[in-house]
Amino acid sequence: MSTDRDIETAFELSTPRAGPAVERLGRFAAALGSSRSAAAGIVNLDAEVAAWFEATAVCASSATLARLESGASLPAGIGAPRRLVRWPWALGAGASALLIAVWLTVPASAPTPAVASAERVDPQVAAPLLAVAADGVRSNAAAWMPFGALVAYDDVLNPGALPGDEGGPTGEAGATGADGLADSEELLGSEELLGSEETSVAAAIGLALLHGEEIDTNPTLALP
Amino acid sequence: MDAALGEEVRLVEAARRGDGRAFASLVAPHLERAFRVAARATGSPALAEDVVQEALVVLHRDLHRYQPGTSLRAFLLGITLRAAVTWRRSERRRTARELATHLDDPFASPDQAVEARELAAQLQVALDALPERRRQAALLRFDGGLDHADIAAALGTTEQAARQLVYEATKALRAALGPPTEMSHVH
Repeated sequence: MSTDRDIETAFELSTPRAGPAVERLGRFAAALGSSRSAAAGIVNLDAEVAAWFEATAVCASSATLARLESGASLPAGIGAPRRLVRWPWALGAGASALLIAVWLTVPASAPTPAVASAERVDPQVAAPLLAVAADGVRSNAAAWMPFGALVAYDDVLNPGALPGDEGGPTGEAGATGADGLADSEELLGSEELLGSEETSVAAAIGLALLHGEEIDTNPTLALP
Repeated sequence: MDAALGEEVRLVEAARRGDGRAFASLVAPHLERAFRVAARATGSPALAEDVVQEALVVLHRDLHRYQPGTSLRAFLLGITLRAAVTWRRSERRRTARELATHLDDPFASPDQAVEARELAAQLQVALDALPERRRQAALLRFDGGLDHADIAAALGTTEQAARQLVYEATKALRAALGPPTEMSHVH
């Protein structure tokens, strides 16, 4: 391979630093390898997706998720801002659930939305909540602080529940039904709204729908 | 069965039973290479972490398909490449804002950053110009650190074909990047 040394050198010199990412990936692997049953109890998801959720949460904001579970208010500065963790495409057509795990931005002092323990997302409820969330984000995105949240939508238990959802994972980017962003896009009414905050709000509402005690459509609970 | 293989068999069996530490131990030696491959394949260190996460999910799900004693790195990197292709296709959905918010400086030192970034961009252009299989072979060879046999395993081809893919890719990259003396100033 000595004749390849110049190209090897070019690759080496232009390789991004991987250290912190590799550390996080190691934690992700440990969580992924052991967390299925515990995670499945959280949101009644397909085991694989539940594992994804829990592992991602452990990487990102286990403390935040614990707080979300308990309904506590969120202190400032939990975790580090992180981009949207998008659909687990690799789960493929066999996956029975759809999930978005996101880093969500909310005011540090805002209470966690108190919402329903429903295991299925009711579009009649979700649509207006998402619209409200989008309005809130438009008006005050900059004031929000990072924390993690999750929206999960079980496409097998409840196919076609969301507008734009045609009832099953397709595994293809951009296809309705397989792509939660496509669903959110429909609900929010415009692709231009799908920045990180907007999508995160959609995720938060989904999480709330899945985990809360009651559904409260008062936007001041969830938004600044 | 030698000691290393015996340990791998033990870890694979434990991981299949849900032992997270065993799974983490199995993949730990390969995560940096997987990250490098994913970063280059997506053109984005920010995306690379998510791609590798996804690859780990698939690896964990498909661990029963892995034969201890073969190359787990090749198995993981093959999955990583396929995941990266999917992510690249869906990348148009991500806003520039999301990326810009979360990108660390990916290079080791400020002194290196500018030149390394230039070289990375130059290399990325050269890689993107390659046919897909040659590009994948180059990533597996130079970022993944695989030998030809393992590249063949990851790509599902013969060792001879893998060797040829790497050769053609290397030739094209060398032509695109120029002679070694033009790159050495980055040191």
